[in-house]
Amino acid sequence: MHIRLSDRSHALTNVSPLAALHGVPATVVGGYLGSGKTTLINGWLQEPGHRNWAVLVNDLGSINVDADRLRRSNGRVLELAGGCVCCTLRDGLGAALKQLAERPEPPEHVLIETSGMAVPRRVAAQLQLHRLEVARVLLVVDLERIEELWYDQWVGELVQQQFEGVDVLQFSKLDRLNPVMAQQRQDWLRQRLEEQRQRPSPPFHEERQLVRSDLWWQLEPLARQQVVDWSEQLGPEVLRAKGEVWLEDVADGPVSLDRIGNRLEMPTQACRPWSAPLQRRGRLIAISRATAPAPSWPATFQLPGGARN
Amino acid sequence: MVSAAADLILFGGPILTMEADQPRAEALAVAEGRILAVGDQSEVMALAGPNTERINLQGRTLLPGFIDAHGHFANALQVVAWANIQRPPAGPVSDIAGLQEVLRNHVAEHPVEKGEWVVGYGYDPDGLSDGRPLDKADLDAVFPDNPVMLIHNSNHGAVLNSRGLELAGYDASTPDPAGGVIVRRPGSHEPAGLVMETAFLPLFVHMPQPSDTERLKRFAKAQELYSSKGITTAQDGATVAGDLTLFQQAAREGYLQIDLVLLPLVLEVPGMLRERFPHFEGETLQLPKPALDSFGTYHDHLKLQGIKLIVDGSPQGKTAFWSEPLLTPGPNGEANWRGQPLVPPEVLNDAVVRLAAQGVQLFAHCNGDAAIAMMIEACRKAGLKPDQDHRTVIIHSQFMASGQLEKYAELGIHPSFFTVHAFYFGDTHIVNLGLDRASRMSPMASAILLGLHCSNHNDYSVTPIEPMRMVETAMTRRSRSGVVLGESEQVSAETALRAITIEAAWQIREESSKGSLAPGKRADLVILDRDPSSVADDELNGIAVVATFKDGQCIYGSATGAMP
Repeated sequence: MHIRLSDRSHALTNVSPLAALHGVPATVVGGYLGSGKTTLINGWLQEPGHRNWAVLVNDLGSINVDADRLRRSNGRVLELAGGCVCCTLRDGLGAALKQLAERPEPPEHVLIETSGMAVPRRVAAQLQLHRLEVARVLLVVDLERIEELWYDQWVGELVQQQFEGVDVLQFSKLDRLNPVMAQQRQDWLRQRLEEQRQRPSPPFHEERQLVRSDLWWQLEPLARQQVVDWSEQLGPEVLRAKGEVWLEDVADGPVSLDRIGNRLEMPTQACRPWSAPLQRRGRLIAISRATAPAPSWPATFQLPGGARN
Repeated sequence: MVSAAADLILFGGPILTMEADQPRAEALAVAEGRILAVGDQSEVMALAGPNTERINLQGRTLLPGFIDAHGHFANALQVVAWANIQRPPAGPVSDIAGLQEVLRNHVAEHPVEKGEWVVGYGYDPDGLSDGRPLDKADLDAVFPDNPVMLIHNSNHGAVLNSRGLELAGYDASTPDPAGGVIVRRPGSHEPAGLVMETAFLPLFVHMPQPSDTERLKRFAKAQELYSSKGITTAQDGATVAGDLTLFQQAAREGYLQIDLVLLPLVLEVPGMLRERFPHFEGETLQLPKPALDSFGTYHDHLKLQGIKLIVDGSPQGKTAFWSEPLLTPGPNGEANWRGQPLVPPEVLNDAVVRLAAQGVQLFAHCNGDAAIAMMIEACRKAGLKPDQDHRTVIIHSQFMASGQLEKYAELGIHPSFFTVHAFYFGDTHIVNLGLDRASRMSPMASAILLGLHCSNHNDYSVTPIEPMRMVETAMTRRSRSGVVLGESEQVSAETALRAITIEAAWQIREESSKGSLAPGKRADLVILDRDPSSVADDELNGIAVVATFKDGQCIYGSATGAMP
């Protein structure tokens, strides 16, 4: 038997320092300074099911890091270092992920609380490049201040950009507005967002808990119609479903899928080539109301007639 | 005149003192690390004793040692272990074969194990005579088993070889991330090697991180990067918590030969305090008394001078914050892009009020006019006035709007300019901003007319350490392609030299001990092979450092004439 030394040493040395985090689901929670991100996340960290989640906090915009919060969290909350990459020759997000990857037990899920000045979609893009699985990008919006911030001379454009590519909008501090006012603000915001991008705005979520997300891997191809049928039977508790599906009628790569409300977008072309011919798979994420049960998936759901697909 | 005997007398060449009432002298005497006398040769020579060393400059030029008004010394500790693949004059590379040779020599001097990263810096495709950019195959040929990362001269990208791309996880199926690009081979999806912007960011986790022990060993080489250019006071202008600990250890253990000025990054201050004052409980950004007292005084060549705030990003990366949109799309393709602040105004205002009230000197990074306006407003709200002598410095002050310099004068703010941008990024600025707006960069002549103290910087490692290019670009404001950006802001050689000596000393409150040649000041000196005030503009950047002295001791080159 030949021992292929070169391959062996390759395996020993050529490993990404973030290998332990490849494929680990990640959540990005954005929102302007003071929007209520921390309150939402702290509440959610208390839940026993989230014991093995790690939280990365970037307080770049707020200057003073909440030291108590770091201390109380027993190492589950890590602080991201700030600064310009080209000045400091370091990338705060990468460095914090590396710290997580070096732990004996990698986290089940990584949650990033972005700086109030960050555009959450851009943070998500970096996580994707680090090969984490971005499960959801949420934006926490303070309806009381949003209209004033939207037009602010210094940060207005940034606040508007924070809505880019967000999966779900999560409202905070709704109790500070009377219901009529709250509804007016939501309508106002929906109009602004639709003006901005000519397609449905992200779904709104008003519960005072973070939305739930579920991830599904598709290991066998499906007929396009089956996916359409599945999408149509999803209830209103599923705020959004998105990802890439492996369809029988598209051979060269996965097809992107995005369902907002009742509207499904699933083009006829592949969104990219397969990484490798033998590594075909689809991947869907469903984001549901905090109290919703686990969703069904295209390969397993029952049509209303009871016929199994 | 003092009667003590001199340890050293320098004479026989132009001596540029940077002193207004005696700008030139014939000889300079040094005793016990300080300047004993400057003046006529006969007067100074009278201070010679039996043991005095006399150095004939033989027509070479003596100046005060240069002061780094803004840069990042910590980066030097990384860069000295990397291969220098810059184009001349900053480096040796002019074609791909030469680049491969540099890399081979580099690993001969800095051996790497199989699988370890090889890092180079200063890649510039425009500097290659091959007529094509570097491809991963050029690097695979030299390093089949080691990942290679050659950092682009913008510091915003790198060329990777096949092993490097594999480790990063980039292949034909990887889409370009928003705001970044994975450059492909012509006619295919296959990565060619170069990755830029957001596609480059994830590479930082792969960059070898030297241990503190290893970094301590690099202090000598890192300081030589400065002393070989005549710099006797360096700056770490955005100090992070881990580096503060290292710098303090280095100083204590005698590793520092030149002076090092630290500006802790405001975001890192809570962490620095937690580590050193675990029981201190104060308000936001409140510093305990011993921390406040530690500012402004050298201990073993190390001092903390102020706190660094960062208000926006960089103009060449289009992340600076302007009041008007650029002519080109934003970094993610945004229309009407004018950049963004990195901190909200309410946070900046609060930080400035709190720190200024404690007497902490502030250094704020602002490149675009909107970021500058935010900082001016924060200083106004904090009640800063010139007579408080607070010396708040706006680092870069790059693209100023009309009327802003007058506000600097009104509030006592002073600019540290970055004129080498004209050379390195001037052509890019013209594309993004148009010639008129681009020409407003680093308005040094206008600032001086208003009586402001203007320094100039390289912002190492954003640009190489090149004091003479600072002088040249302050005088000519010429881009790489030869366009002059704002002729009316050109300054004289004397003014350009003052910006890297006495004015830079003033901004760190050292004008009474450094920055000019006057009795009693530190004998921090540089000898240049030619007089920068009398050579043609295009020869400035070719002026060589013959020797550098710190506190009267030669720390680089040889004052007796042998060229290093």
